[in-house]
Amino acid sequence: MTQAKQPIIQIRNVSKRFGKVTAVDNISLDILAGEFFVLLGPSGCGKTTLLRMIAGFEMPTEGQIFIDGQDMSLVPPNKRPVNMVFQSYAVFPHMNVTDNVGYGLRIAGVSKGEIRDRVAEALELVKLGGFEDRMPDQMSGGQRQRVALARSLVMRPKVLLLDEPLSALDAKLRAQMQFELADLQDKVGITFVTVTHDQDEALSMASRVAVINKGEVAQLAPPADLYEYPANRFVADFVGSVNIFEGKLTLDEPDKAAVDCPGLGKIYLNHGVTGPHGADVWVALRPEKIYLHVPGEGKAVRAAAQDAPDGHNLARGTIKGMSYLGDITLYEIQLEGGQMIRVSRPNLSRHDQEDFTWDDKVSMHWRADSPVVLLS
Amino acid sequence: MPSPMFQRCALTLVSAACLLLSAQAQAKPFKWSSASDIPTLDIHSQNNALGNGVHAAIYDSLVYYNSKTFKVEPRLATSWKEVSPTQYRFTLRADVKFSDGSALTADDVVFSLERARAKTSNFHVYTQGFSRIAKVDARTVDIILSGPNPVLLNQLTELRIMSKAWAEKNKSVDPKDIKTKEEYFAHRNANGTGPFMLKSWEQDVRLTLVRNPNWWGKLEGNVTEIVYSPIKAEATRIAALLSGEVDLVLEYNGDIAQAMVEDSDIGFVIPKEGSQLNSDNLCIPKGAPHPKNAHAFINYLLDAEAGKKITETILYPTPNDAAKALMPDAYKNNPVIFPPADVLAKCEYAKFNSELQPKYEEAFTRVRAA
Amino acid sequence: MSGALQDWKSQKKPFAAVVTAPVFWLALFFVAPMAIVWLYSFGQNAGPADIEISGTLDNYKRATEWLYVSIFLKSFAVATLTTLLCLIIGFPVAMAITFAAPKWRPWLLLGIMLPFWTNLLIRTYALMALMGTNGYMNKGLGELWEGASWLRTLVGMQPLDAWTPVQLLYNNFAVVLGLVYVHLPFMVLPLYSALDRLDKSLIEASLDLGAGHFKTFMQIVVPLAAPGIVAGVMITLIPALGAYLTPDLMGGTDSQMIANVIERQFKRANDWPFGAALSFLLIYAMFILIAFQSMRANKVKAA
Repeated sequence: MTQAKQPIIQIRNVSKRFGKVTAVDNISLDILAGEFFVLLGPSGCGKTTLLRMIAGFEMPTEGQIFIDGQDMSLVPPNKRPVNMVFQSYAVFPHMNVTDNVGYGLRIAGVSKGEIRDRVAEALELVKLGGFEDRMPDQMSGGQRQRVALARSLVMRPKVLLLDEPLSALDAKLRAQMQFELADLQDKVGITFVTVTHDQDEALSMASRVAVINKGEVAQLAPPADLYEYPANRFVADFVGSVNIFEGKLTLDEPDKAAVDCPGLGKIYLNHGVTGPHGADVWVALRPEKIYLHVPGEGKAVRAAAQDAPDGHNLARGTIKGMSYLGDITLYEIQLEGGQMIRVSRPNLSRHDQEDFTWDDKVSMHWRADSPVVLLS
Repeated sequence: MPSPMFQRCALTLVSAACLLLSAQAQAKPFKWSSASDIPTLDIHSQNNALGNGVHAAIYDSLVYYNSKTFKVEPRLATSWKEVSPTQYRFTLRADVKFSDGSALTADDVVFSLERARAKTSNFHVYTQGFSRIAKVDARTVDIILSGPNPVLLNQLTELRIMSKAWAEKNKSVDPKDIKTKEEYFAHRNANGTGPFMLKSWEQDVRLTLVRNPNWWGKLEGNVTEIVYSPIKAEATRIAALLSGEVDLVLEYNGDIAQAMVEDSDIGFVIPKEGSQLNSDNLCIPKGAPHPKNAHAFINYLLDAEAGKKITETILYPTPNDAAKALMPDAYKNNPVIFPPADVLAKCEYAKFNSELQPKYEEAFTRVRAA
Repeated sequence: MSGALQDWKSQKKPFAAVVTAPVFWLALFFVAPMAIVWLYSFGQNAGPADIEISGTLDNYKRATEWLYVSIFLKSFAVATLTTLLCLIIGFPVAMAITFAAPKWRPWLLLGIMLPFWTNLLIRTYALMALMGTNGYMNKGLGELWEGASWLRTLVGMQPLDAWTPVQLLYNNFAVVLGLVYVHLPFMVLPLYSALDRLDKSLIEASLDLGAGHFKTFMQIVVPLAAPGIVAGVMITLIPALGAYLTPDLMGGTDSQMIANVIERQFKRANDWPFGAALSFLLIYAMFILIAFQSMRANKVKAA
């Protein structure tokens, strides 16, 4: 979409302290209308606190939150134009599905006929038609979550807040719900703000992700950027699997850069990194971006690493561990310097996993655009 | 099984109903207490000893007992004579005023005595033998009897006089019917010619009387105000007495003798009419498994030294002469613990009546439920 | 549930071993004495110490006279009022404990249970010492009154009349207050356990959906705490209905409850058969209450 989007939520220098513990530390960020925004981070990073401050269940110690341009500092949760889907779903156990979904409308004094229509519409939206009279304890976790979703959506909020919406579901259902949530968001056009600790969830659903670490925003970016261009070691490590090596920046020009890593070897990049020369840096290399070879194939290796000067982007080691995961096989390789590196290899044919085995000596190479140099 | 069969009495302790009076001389409210409240202020509604006593402070009768000699003496009637064996003529005291300020007349006396004979009155026992009451003039009233009656004056001591005009004005011409619950003016209010006037009455809580400044008589003593609060439990009454919450309680002598050790400002009085005796007994039930032990225990209690120790604590009159001999004179000569023989002679034991007791309790339940 | 049933059906011997002692205990010390008293209720006095069990229904006939029925009704009214007050006072207390910081909760619960460490009689007397006309409450009120009077003189107004102590004891008010005081922990504890189990996010969800605190309380908290409310009401109402000590010590002459009447039948009136009949009428009334409650519980389970 090209149209310039207005921020629906503006978070300005918000901090939250519980006694001596700082849960949220001076966070400022904008969430745009219509976005599927994900707050991603390990447990205890402050992401849920931030979400609860948007909902109004917690008051910021410092800073302000604006929703649709309005300062929410003195607005109680029941007066905010947002609704929340709780991690435990918080479906009222003493009400059937219809009463649960219609609860907010009844409180708001909407006419009975309209409640009936809107509840039916919301249930249709979350594919719960026919469950109107069920009690919550007669439903599965996934169904209860749909009730919670419908109960919030029926209020037509400006923003829908979801606290770890998929954490209580089993793996298959989770994958399915990821798509459904994204699809639902597309259909209703409401801004979704989701909290999760699961990077897969974040990457698959979000339009933008804010990675939170120790109460601060570690990186704010669309999912692909987060994965391919992590801003720091925390993000690189938290989002996906990664090998990180310490090194010194030996070359840094606009179209190329080189890092000398004692543990891995000489690294060459086909783009600049804008770091101070000679600085201590870290190189992040994703396991799937490393090619694995039998040591004799010297020619092929060199040919493959053509985009780098000789002796760069190459490594040798011994396979110390292997896990066959079906779609890929994961290798744990001890480098000549003694450090371990993880490499994954797609099983393109049925017998690919037989190519290497324990204690095999192997060579590795990667492309010059694969490593990421991290300054912090 | 209820109440074991009594086999043997070992100890007898005399105790008597007692009155306690504050010995302080300065004028101050006199506060006293007993188990229950007066049933009503209506002087003809219920014949209740406590109520009658209170009524007598507010209302006068034609004649009443002298508080020292206990002989009938003039009150509202200054003199009387026997016109015939069945006709008595009473001359009323002049210048008697009710507490509302109106003057007492013969009409009030006729009205009040007739009121005591009304259907809802409970004072028929005192109007027995009355045939007719007639006004002779403004200060003279005749009582005409159906036959000679030697106790007429005694009967009249419990027949108090209220104002006719006041009763008529306040729709209290007939005595309050105790079977109905409806509010009744004369039940809650009083207007008498007696030494005290009603200040306030909150049923079951507090009754306050103040001195009637316009009383025709001369009141002995310094009591300016009487406050009565009913308290049910006896231990509570004693505690209330010691804490100064009440000034007067109805208790056994030993308990009071104990209280007097703690507070010398307490006195003990046995009514002239006499009182009730009570004794604690040690009994061995029929078929008790260890009668020897029981005998040994009783023998121990009867031991002079042990008896002395018990007596020192409980301060009841010990029946154990050997123990009594060991006690100091202050105990032996204490009139609270050992009332004089002439006073004791008027006291008697209450008897358990298995027929009457449940009926009495039912009546008590009924009163408390009313 | 069905698992547990299965267990004792298939393993009768261990179950019998475990259950024999309590059953024996119950039979000996509960069922047997109750049965004897029940038999007495169909008897009549045949002497100061003998009861002849003649199968007569006279005791029940007498016990259902209006006099006693009215005292039953009064006891029920007092117990109901007590329970209601306990509920009104206890609910906020239980909520406060539930929402208190976790480190405070054990101390607050201890505070609720502390009175149980003291004998009821002593607590009652302590309360009476507080409430007497010369007691601390009246003294405190008197001080306030004097203070107010002094303040009036400061601004040039006439001082107030001398303080007259308020009669707090020996009336029905004192009985209800005493009963509420004694029974409050019985109400707070089940309410607390019900509220503690309540998922706090349900309350937040209700607020989130636009309900204010009062609506949330009525629509979410109360219905979900209903089992605790019912349990609290039952274990407050039933002992309050049989209350004996409090009306006896703190009540006025008109404060008798049915337990006081029963006591007098056994002691002063020496009319055990009639006392037994009254006792059993009280027990039947309690059975009916419990039956209502379990019927309600079954209905909830079935729904």
